[in-house]
Amino acid sequence: MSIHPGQANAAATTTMTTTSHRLALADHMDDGATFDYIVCGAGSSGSVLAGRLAADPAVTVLLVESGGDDERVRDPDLWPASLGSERTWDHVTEPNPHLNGRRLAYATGRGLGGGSTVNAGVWACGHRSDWDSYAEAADDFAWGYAHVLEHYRGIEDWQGVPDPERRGTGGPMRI
Amino acid sequence: MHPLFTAFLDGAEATGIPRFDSANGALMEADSGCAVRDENIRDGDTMTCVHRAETAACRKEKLLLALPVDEDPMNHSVAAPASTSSTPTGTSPNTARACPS
Repeated sequence: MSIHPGQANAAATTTMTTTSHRLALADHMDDGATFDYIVCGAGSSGSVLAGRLAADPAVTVLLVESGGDDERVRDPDLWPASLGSERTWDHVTEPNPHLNGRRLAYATGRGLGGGSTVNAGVWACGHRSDWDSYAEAADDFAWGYAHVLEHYRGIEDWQGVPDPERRGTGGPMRI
Repeated sequence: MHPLFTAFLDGAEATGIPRFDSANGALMEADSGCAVRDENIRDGDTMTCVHRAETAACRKEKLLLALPVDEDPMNHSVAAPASTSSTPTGTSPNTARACPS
């Protein structure tokens, strides 16, 4: 069976009286519940993908995230408090000969927002040489800088010195 | 801007690293450079991607979010006990959350 948003909202209403969170507990998820889409990981990509899919009123979407949500997730300035806790996957890099063999801490986020919960709200679009190397590796121009830049321009609401060739205005992310 | 930013960039520029208005844009096409980082801020609040997804999805009420029960904010305060990190999430029943109307 599928979970109907109306049912979920009935349960959510009672819970919302004791919390300020935008999302509230729904009723339990029944065994055998089905969805049109299941998105694994509520990180920067998964959250946006689930949101875009869910914008279609004809489909149901389940977004699965192993981490959770708390003040450290909501307040980007608290990101250091997430390191070494249940809010991160505490990866380390391979030993680097250019760093005297050291392995660097390279945590990714484990919570709503994924990696964006430990990047202090920084907006980093990536260097042209990086994107073009992805395009070369994938043999797909869509990964290249010129193509990706157009997507970034569509997302941005850039507030700095105007640069219409590279920066977008009026998009959902105010930079 | 914090004076530390300015001093740091002044120092970088003094070593010959060109300074840019943004850490994105033209710097991302240059061989080297320095700039103050760009941040996602609206109405004084830094935005996370999940904030965006929730805002978009909540309008449509069609998105459910599944989290481990022991990780849910409704069940414990911000100062979560360290034991939650050692609980295998695979053994926990999942709880779905839905956007309020």
